[in-house]
Amino acid sequence: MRGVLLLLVGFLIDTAHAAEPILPLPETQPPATPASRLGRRLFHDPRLSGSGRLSCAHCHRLDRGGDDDRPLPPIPTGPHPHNTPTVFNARYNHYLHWYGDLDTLEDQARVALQRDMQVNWPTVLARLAADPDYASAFHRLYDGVSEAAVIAALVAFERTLVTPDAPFDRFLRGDTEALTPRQRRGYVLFKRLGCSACHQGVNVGGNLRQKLGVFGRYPGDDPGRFAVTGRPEDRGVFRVPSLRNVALTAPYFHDGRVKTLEKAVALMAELQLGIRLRQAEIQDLVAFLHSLTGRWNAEETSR
Amino acid sequence: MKSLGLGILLALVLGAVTTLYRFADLEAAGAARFAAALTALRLHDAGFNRDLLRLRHGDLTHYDTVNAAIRAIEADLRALAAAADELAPEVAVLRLLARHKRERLEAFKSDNALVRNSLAYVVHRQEELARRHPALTALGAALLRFLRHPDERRRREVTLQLSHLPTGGEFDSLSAHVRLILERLPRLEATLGELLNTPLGAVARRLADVHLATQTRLQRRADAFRLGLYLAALAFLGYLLVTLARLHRANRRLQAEMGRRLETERQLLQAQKMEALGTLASGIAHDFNNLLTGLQGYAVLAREQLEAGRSPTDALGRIEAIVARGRELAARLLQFARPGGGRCERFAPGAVVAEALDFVRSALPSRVRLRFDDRLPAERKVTGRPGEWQQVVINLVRNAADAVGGDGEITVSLTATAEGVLLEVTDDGEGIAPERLATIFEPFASGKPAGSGSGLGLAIVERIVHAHGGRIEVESRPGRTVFRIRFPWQVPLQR
Ligand code: HEC
Ligand code: HEC
Repeated sequence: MRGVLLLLVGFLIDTAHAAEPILPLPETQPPATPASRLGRRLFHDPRLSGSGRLSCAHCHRLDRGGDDDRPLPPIPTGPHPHNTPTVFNARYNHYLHWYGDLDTLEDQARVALQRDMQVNWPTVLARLAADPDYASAFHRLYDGVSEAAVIAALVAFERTLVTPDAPFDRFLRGDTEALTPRQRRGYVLFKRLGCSACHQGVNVGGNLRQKLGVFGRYPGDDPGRFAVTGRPEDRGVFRVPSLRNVALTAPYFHDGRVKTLEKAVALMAELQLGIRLRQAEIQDLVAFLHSLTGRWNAEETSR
Repeated sequence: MKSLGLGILLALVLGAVTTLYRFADLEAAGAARFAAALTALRLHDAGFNRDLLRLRHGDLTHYDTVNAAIRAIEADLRALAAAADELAPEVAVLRLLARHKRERLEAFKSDNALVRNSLAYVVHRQEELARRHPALTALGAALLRFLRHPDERRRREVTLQLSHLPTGGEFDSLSAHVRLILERLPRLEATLGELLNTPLGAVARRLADVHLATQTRLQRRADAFRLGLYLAALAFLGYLLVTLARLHRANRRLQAEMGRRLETERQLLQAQKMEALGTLASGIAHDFNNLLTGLQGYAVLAREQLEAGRSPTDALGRIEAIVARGRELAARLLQFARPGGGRCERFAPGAVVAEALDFVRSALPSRVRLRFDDRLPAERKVTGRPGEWQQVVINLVRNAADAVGGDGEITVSLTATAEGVLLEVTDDGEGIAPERLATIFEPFASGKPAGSGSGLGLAIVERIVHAHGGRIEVESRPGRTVFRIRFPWQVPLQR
């Protein structure tokens, strides 16, 4: 019964927004919970790493748009190192990582701890259990310190990392003044040129995979999703990334090769749409992309 | 024995009821969840298919809802797997179909985005470019035919028109998009067809039917089981009732039996008392004879005094005194002979025992000496039934008299002890043989010749003593036999 109702409501919401390829984020940040507060401490705690010096926050700086502003992380992560994506709004991505090969935040956190942080589980669990604050919080929330509990708490925190109130979201909700005329022109272009065929949905991306270089060749030798599946048709295929807060997350693309948003937009038009943009069009599109920057209040996560 | 069997039966019934209750509960809840998950799955699949068509036709322009639907389907499958495991193979088929759908969805999304973009580009540019180059009109027409029927013949037609295009700049872009459409559109249509034809919903519907059938069968089985249980409970109840009735009857029988025994005992006691009285009769007759002799003497004396013209006052006074003694004697006899032991009362043991000895003395042979040694303080009293005390004394003295034969000494004594009164009857007779000592308190075990008594004397003594909460013991050797009876100061209440 409830399923039917939800479906009906879903249907109504769908049709209401059918005209727009992009959906707004919820209007407020999710409230902090005891689990998310524990996850916040873990996220910033270098003791989780094998070296004892690296925390999630080292690469995902919450005061810098949720990434590290570097083309690639300081330590190599595999044969084809990748630019650090933002953790903001990651919960709205259908799949994670540049290859789009992870389905849940839990799976991702396990990989992050293993690969990026070189975690040594027995040591880390012992360290956490020895800390009275951690030990009591874990006992209250998850009957004790365990691998699964650490991951659950981290994910609970990541679920609060949402950036509502972007000017574009206000525009979608009917506030036409929320965008400058240039931004509005940029949005029209974004739809008309076909950027929104790939960058759409609530996260303006993050929900499908696509070949990088439909009408040209992207430099570099990253095999793309082929590295995961081994299927020839997956060569050069990447997850279409979310463009929310994209103005804060330079440099761009999986290898962090492109430093400015202007260049990224121009390259996108050329490789994905087979068109060469005029300078004014680029400016309009970039202006629009700036309207996707939301707000995030660090206080709310510790309250 | 009986209660053990009952307990086991009860435990069995209880166990069965509990198991059935919980099992049925679990089964019903599991079945409901399974049915709900199946319904949800079919709805999610229908929504998924609908959104695919909307995406294909550009009515829906983002992929969030199809992604959400495929995730919801996967969640439904997890719920299905958790709810019932007897349909696991069928659920596995569903999971396979869902995985196939998820995978084909990726191809659909990628191709759909590209095809829509290229179509938009071609439509947008074609008009504008057509004004500059006539070949574009023919290309547009060929492409339109291909869009309607994306087959090999129409594809070759479009490729042919493409080769007539000039090269460079915008024309290169245009032909790249057209080529993309040629390449991806048939694939997109094929993928869409495959997705819509993946029989996830149909299999789910069939599974729902199978599940319903299974449920009905299970329900029928549960009903039968419940009926069996009901019958078992009924049988149990019946058994319980029968047992109760039987118990009740046995109890009544027992009570009646007990009443009968008590009555017999009472009658025995009374009979024996009368018997004792009978033995005493000669002595009593002697007593009355003495009184009558006295009466006659004083009556003669009174007449002589009257004839002598003197006053007979003195003699008449004596007569009155003798009559009073006679009445007193009769009253005491009546009192002794009254049926029942009488009620418990407080009395001084010395007087009661002396009285009993008075009765018995006159019945003893003349050479038997009876001494009474009352060592109790005069004011000391006990509770008990005086009539029964006397019966004890009389029986023991008679027994002693039999033991001494015609000549001997019998001593009756009363002594105060911490617990009560010690009554001892000692004789200097031949003694009781050791092999008889163990059985002298059994009825008819007396060593007396037949006809000399009921054979109940000592048995009655023992019974009375026990009824008073006392103890009796015998010590005997030739020349000295002692019966020791310890009466407590108070008769214990429960007696
Ligand atoms: C050494 C730097 C580094 C550290 C430390 C690090 N990450 Fe990352 N993170 C990355 C990189 C690089 C990627 C992209 C990996 C890829 O796509 O191959 C990433 C991807 C992610 C994503 C996926 C975002 C998306 O939308 O795809 C999440 C979520 C994330 N990290 C969370 C974490 C958490 C939680 C921790 C701590 C446990 C952590 N990261 C630690 C570098 C880092
Ligand atoms: C055919 C699909 C497709 C289209 C159309 C498309 N993009 Fe992209 N976009 C992608 C993919 C795939 C990536 C990731 C590239 C990579 O792996 O480095 C990307 C990345 C980007 C990035 C970099 C994001 C980051 O965080 O590094 C920007 C900015 C961007 N696109 C903007 C645009 C704009 C503006 C347009 C329209 C002019 C557009 N895209 C059209 C598929 C597309």
